[in-house]
Amino acid sequence: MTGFITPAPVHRLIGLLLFATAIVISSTASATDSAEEIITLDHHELEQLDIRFAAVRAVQAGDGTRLSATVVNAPDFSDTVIVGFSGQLQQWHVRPGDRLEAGDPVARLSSETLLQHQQDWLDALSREQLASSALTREQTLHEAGVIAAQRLEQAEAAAILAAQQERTARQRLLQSGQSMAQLQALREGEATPGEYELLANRSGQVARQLVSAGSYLQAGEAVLSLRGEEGSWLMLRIPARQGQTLNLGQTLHLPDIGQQAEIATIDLSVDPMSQTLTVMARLAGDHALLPGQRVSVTLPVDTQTLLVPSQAVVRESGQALVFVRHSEGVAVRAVTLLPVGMHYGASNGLVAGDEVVVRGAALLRGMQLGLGGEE
Amino acid sequence: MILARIIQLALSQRLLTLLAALVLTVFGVRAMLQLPIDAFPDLSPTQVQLIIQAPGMTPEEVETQITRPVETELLGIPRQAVLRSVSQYALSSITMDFDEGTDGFWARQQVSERLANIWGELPGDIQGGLAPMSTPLGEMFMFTLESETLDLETRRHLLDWVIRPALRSVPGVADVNALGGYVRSYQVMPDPYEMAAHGVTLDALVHALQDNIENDGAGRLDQGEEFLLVRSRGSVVGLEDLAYIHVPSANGQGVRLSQVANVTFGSLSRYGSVTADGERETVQGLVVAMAGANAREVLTAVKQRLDELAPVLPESVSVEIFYDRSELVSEAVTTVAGALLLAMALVVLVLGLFLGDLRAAVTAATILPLAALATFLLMRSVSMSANLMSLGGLIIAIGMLVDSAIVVVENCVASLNRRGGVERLPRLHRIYRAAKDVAVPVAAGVLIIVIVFLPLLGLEGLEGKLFRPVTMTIIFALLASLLLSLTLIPVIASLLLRTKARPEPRLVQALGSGYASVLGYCLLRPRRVLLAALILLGLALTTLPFVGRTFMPVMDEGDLVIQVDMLPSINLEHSTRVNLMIERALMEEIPEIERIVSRLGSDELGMDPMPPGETDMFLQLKPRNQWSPGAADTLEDRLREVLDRFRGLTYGLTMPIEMRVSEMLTGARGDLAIQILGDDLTVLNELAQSLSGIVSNIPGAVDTSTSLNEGQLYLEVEVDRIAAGELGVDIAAIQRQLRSQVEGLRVATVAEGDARIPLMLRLPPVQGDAVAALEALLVTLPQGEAIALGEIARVQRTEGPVSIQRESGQRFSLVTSNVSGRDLVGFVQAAQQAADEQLNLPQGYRLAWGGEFENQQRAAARLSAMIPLSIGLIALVLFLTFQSARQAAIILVNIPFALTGGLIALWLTGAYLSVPASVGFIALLGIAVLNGVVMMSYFNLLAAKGLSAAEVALQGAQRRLRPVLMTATTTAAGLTPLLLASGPGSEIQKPLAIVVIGGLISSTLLTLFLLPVFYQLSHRRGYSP
Repeated sequence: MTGFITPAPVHRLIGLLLFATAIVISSTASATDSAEEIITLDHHELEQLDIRFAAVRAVQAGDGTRLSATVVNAPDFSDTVIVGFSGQLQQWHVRPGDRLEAGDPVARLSSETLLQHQQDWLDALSREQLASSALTREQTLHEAGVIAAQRLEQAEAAAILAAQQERTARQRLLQSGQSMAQLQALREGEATPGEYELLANRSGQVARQLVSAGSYLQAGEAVLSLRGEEGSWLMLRIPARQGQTLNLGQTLHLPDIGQQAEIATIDLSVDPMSQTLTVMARLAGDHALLPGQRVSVTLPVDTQTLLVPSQAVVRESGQALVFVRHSEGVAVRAVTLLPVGMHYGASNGLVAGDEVVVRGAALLRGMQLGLGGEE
Repeated sequence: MILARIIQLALSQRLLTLLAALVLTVFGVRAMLQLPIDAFPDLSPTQVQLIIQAPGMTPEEVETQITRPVETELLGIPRQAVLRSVSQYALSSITMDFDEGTDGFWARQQVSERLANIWGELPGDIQGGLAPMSTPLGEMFMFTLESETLDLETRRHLLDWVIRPALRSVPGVADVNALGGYVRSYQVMPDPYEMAAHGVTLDALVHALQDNIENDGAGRLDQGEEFLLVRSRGSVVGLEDLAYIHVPSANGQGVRLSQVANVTFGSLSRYGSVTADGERETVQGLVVAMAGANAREVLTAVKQRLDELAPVLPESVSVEIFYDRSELVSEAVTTVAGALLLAMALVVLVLGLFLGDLRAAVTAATILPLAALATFLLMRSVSMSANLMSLGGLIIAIGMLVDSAIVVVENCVASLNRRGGVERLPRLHRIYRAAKDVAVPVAAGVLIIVIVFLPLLGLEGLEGKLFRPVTMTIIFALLASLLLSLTLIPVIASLLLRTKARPEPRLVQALGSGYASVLGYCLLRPRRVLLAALILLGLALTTLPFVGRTFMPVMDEGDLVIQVDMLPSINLEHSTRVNLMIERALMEEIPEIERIVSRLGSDELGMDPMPPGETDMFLQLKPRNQWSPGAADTLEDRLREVLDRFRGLTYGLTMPIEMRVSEMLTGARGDLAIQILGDDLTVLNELAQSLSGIVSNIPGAVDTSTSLNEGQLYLEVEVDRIAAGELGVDIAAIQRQLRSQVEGLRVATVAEGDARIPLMLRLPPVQGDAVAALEALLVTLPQGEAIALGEIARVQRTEGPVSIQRESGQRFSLVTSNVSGRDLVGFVQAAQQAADEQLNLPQGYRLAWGGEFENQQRAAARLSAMIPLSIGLIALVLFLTFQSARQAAIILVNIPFALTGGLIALWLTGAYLSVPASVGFIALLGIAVLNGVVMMSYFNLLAAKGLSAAEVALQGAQRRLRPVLMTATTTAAGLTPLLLASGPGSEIQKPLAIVVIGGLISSTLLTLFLLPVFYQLSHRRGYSP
């Protein structure tokens, strides 16, 4: 075994040799890289062969893959006004297009159920008032030593119970959409029992009346559609592979109308039927887009790369080549490309301003392979 | 004796003979008018071609799944000579050549039966079968449809459904190929995401489309005492009908087609295009004639049908003809007919000069039209066609067929002029005796020439097909002339010739006196004469290495074809654009070009399958009289100059018929075609590239090329069987989906009147990076869900072959080269040597050398066996005629000396030793022998009178000077038009005329001087006192 152990100085020598060899190899390789292949062509030839050039530029936001998206209302906006108690819609107070603030009345309803609940509350209220005055009296009597402490305790318990019953009955009404003001009016006898005003739960614009006056409605039924002040969103289905590369906060572009949208949500699961992810994006700025409208969007791209038109690229043994304008004709350049929309982004091999051949690449490739004339 | 009886019969029944001549004239003229006329004889072997279209398949898949199984099935067919195939993108083309003489219908039947056996085992969506029954020369008529208002799609529709059906019904038309433009189709373009969302599978879509577009009959229904025919209408009338088709979906409810797909009019994937004049794309019709069809009749009928169609076509549409074989045919026929008439005039002139008697000249010349008509009659009876070769044979024969008549007439004139007892005989009897005296040598002479030409009937292959008509015509003409000169000529002589003695013409007298003194000198110094002859022979032989060799001179067809090869992977759009650029440059810089029509890629029938990077560019040239002086000589160079500027593509220059003949013979184009046979496509390609380099360095090599058979870019989808299997997806389903994505699936055909419009199912075209796009392609799972292709398959770019060529079951690559400025055989030898030295062939790989050079070698081998046999036969005839081996030998010894003139003439004119030149030498052989026979037979006549050898030689030669000079001069006169002709076909006949005329000079001189010397030398002992 000792024969296989190499003394340390020899190790170092081998290391040095390997290092030197690596340097030689790498310098040779870089020399080869720098000596790019030139296809000699003069101006006249380029013209005759109808070779066209285009300067490469940085990839821009709108260069990404185009997909179609649908305009939708903002997803976190409760966009309908819901009936709290079953009953008949007596009168609409608003029309589609009206702007509303939260709490604005939208319609009046009459409801047996409401009447019952109102009655329950009014009963509970009067019981609560009675229990309260009884407690006050018993406290006075107890302080005067007229009654025993036990009587006072019974009165206190009755008052607490009555207050609780009143709160429960009130809460039932409040939860069903009645406001404190409405309850107050009812208590003071200013409101007609069994009737109530349906109120807008948010500010917004009336989009549509979902039912007509006179309709009998069940509790929980929507009667009015509101368009939120938060504006429209975009919904798009993105093939799972592309969707996985997206991040929240990235910008989608609507190149046809010059708008942008910020990605707000990305589904965490793929729809097995269509192998897509649903992505929602918040539209920015003013626009005239309406819910349901289909628009074209481009996905975000890496703007650090240079855009190479797809017609400029030829392939050789798995390597992508482009032809770049050179003082003597065109130079053959190997490039590393990533798909960017309909074209490619080059991360190396080109610098901004390089002119690549965008027409006639097949002829140049033929020349590169030695085709030409009377071979 | 028989000959004497024939002459006797003819002279005793003069009226009957003249009547027979009249009948011959009538039937001859009728036969002449009825003869099928074509530019060329039918050169193709019995050939059956199979064309199988396999949409979307790559060359290797086509080879594996179609070509190989079919080839294996076909291999057992008897009488097959060659089995070749090309497998390329979406197309398998298999060609089977049969042995000579195999019946075409039988061959097709055999192939058809075998194909039926295997068809069921081939992939399901293939189309095609036997190609039309045509020959590669069947492309006779090409035109484009031009219109300023109608688009390409509409014009193509007109071509496909109005013009093509009309022309196909013309008798003799095998098919009409339509090229270029766009073929209209109904297009259903499903949205894969909508399909996935609704759970609609591709199969469901296909079935829904197939099941909802046809009418049907339900039967007969009785109503009262009548019946009704029940018909259900389901045919599609427009896009709306398609949009409402119900497609089953996963939830069972189904959707309307328009919910999941966009229904539009579109066009089929294009495999080729046609461009014209560097200005525009256009559509082209190509009339393919049946094998053996009468070109003139077919094309006349085609043009007549096109005229009839003109009112039916929209006003703005015009049919622009750019290739019409009948033009070549009529030019060729005009060339030959002109030569024929000129030959006749010259012959009459020569006869007049030598005989000094117009009546005698006319008598002898009568044989010319009659023998020609008799030849037409015989040609018609054996179903030969009149073409460049057969009519050329007639011209060659003219000078010779008058010979027998000359000999007879000359003897008749001599006999009628002679004094000394014979004048007491009746005039008719004197004619009879004169004709009888020369009957045997005349018959022997004709027989000898017929024997000389017999070896040509033994030629095989292309040369056999080309020269058999020549030989047959010559033999027919000579036999007719023999019969006529022994029957009709004596009769006419008896009617026309005068008995009054006439002095010999001054020309003959002058020649005679000069000849007598020179011959006397020669006979006194025989050794010097022999020495001079040997020196001449030696000189002629020294020219041999300087005379180039080629198989067949190139015929100027009047039209040029430029074959352009671009990068194999170039797409149709860009190759079309490059084509237009080349056309524009050519139109601008070459003023002789009238029109250019280029055919790019493959045609619809697949008869000439080419990838999108290959072009046949047809140049229609202006009439020659519009060219500037000297333009013809520089035309090819100027074309090359323009084409050389288009770097990045290779090209070759050829002509329409030449191109097809080359392809037919070797499956490739070029003088030299080297096959490299082996298994591995990469190795074959590498070897082909190296060999191409080696061959192109050999002096004389032009247009050397090997098609870039690698470099076709592939996008390979390799399905992960385990992943696909777990999800229950068939590989076939994935492949179908891919097909519908890329090429489109032809799911049905919609009937629109007579038109059949394909209904295509095509997913939206791939955009952006193809790998990413295919990886994202959704494959519908059996449960209605979908998965991206990239999840179950690897998509990668690779490179592969453009096409796979096979011969007799083995793959091969091909290097072709044309040869310019040097002889083909020498070039091939140099190439073979260079290949042996420089090309390192791995084990299992071999070279096969073919092309025109192959034909030349075969012809040489055949002729080298047949010519000695024919010389033996001639010797036998000579021996039988003269009953003397010595005399036969003297005449045969004359032959090599006679050939010297031919060789020297070739060397002087720079013409190549080719098959036509060889035919010239063969003719020369016969003429030399014939002269010898004429001379020798008279020597014997004199010898029988007891004259000494010297006297016999001197007097005999003097007496025979006139007939020998006359036969030689008339033959030369007959061929002179060929020397001067410049029309199509003249290139083939010119070398022949050069050899014969050159040879005639030497042969006549030697017959006049050497033969008497030989005779004197060989007979001195026998007759010397």
